[in-house]
Amino acid sequence: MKVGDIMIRDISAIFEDETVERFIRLCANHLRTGMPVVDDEMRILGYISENDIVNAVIPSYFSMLQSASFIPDTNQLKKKLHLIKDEPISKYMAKSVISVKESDTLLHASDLLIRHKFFSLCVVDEEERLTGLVNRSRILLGVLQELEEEKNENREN
Amino acid sequence: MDVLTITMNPALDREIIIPHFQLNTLHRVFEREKLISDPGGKGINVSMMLSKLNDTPSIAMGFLGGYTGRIISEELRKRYPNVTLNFIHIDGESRENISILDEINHYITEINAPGPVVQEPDLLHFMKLFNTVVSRTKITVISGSVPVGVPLDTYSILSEKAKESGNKVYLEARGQLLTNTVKKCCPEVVRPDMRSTNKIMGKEVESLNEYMEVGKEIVSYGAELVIISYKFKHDLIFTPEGAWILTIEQGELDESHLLGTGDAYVAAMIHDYLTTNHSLLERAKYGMAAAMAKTTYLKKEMPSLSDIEKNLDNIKIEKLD
Repeated sequence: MKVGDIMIRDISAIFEDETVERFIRLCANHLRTGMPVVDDEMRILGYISENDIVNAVIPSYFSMLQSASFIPDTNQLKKKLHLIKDEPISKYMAKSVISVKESDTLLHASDLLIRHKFFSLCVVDEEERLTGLVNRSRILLGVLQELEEEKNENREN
Repeated sequence: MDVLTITMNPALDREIIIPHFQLNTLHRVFEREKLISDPGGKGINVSMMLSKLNDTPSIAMGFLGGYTGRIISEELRKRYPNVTLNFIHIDGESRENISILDEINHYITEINAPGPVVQEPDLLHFMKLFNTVVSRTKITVISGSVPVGVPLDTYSILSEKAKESGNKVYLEARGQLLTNTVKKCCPEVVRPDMRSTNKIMGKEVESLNEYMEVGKEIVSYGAELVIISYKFKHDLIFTPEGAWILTIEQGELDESHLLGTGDAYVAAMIHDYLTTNHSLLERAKYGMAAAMAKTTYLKKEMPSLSDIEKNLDNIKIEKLD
């Protein structure tokens, strides 16, 4: 089984000059945690995730704290988001994107997902244009399907 | 990927089959098959039918909203894996058409919910995405109505951009949207949607002459092929070379089975365009045979290639002009 057999053919994408606010709204409506950023030929320029935005709006020392509950000023989040909501997403996106081809094996895709701690990967064609996505559950589903097929073959033999 | 379909205003078509349906009564439905949820909207229908017909892949674009929108995309993803989705998920809810079918008493009770309002940033985003995608396709299908917030000249802008990228444009629409698009940037293939209207290009059509005039008018704006459904059993075909009437010679058409015939027509013509080098007239005949084969099903379903072939011999072609 190949990536092309199990991928989700959804090429929803965002352009790099769209604002942070636009990105947040699109994700909320589409129940997505991130989106590929593409140029006008659908080639991938980056990937923006809600994590990138969360990291941008919380003060950097937060990661060193056990709990943020004692911090009196909860308005910080609001203020920071207000500051960046009209900025282009290109400022916050991850610029190096790891993608797979439809002809790649599921093992290769899972290896990349685990190695880079990603939940999903972009799938691209020979010209590096976005054709869809593949995520962990789709890969697992694909493997389950393969197992079943093997079982059926054995039974027939 | 060769085909791009545009559905600005998709819908979720829900059919509930309830024998002896009555008001003010509790009806329990025990079989899941009697509760059908189908993605709908003319462009999406063409994508689904192409997928069934010879596994032809396509890209489907448009706007989806809310919970209903998510069901539409989920159903498409599950059941039509070779339709690539490129929808913008907007605020508001997508349209929902509920029909309660009582096959015993032959009643249909329909409830149609309104669609979302498209905001300007969403429309701009759509236009940008459209430009990105249309450069890789060969055929663009623009079909159906537009939701509130989408201006009436949008289809002509899409038609122009698609043509610039070397696409053949198929249009199926009605009313002002059709008139506007034909006048501003006429697509190659035009099929006026005649459901619930007898007006084309702002003119009422009744006699054959009135139909002829309006067909020729659309050709004069630059269409290569115009198809107008005429008196149920006929199609009028117009090209720059002349006009023909296609007639179904044998077989009864069930008027209650017309759902999706127009979309089967378009899907079959596209299949014919991609796989043969038939003349425009033969292509229209192929579309008509598919539409006819479709009427053997109640539901919106694409007939098989062999069913289409079988119906080809039932269609008579006569030259009118």
